Amino acid sequence: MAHDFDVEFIERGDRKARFLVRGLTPAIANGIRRAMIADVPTLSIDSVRFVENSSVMFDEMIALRLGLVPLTTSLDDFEEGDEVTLALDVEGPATAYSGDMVSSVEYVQPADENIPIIELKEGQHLEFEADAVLDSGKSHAKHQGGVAVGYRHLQKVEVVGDTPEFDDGEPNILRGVIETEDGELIHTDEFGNDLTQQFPGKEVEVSDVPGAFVFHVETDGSFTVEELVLRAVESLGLRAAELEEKVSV
Amino acid sequence: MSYKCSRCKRDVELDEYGGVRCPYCGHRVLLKERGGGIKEVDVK
Repeated sequence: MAHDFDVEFIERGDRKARFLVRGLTPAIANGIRRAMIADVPTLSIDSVRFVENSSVMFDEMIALRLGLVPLTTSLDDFEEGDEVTLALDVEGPATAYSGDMVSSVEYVQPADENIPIIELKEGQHLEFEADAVLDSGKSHAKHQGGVAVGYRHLQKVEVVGDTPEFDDGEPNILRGVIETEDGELIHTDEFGNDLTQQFPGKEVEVSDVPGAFVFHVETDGSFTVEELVLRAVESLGLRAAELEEKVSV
Repeated sequence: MSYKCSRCKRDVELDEYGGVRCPYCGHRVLLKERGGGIKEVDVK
């Protein structure tokens, strides 16, 4: 069965994007969403060796915070299970930030440098070495590269007439991306999610466009949205190929 | 077990008869000293 997919970006950034895909079934759309969350691996701190911690927090609490610091991940250079070491040595009075960590690999760095780890007072000292491991969201949520991944049906809005003369003018709230009769794609945020603002004095009918899904994808900064989507789709393809091979044996 | 007095900052050794009190300044708040070794913690 051949599919003709049609992809159109509505909003495109490194960490956040919104794009329309036509020609999908709900099952495939959900498969892609789940693959983005659980299948694409990221580096995340997995064990910490504390040399000194005279801060007000226990080693375990600081370790949990460190696990949630996103690290830039180059998926071409690592395989699942590979490790990278990061070290930190900060003396108070100061705040230890994610950007204070020094990595053994130049291109593996905290995705954001301003994540506070702990505030240290005079005389307090934090020193540790941490091992980051490449793993997928299936094993632990800290390895999820896609942090806000979802999709909605594309909605077609058609003008079917004028509103009655003495209409009470209640707002007609709709969220997501709409397709107008001219084929224009508009995010409902642009007109305050109220169709009466976009189509004043008109009566409209809203319907889902079959097979058209608008994905909203945000990453934690480990990699770009483009990389996340491509890797997720690749993982689905690999699984399908594996199934095909197993069935044919 | 070694502790440090939170007021006079001196090292204090506790025994079972002395109670929790700094023998130098009498302060009752003692801080436990961290051991010298490296502690490894899993992030799970």
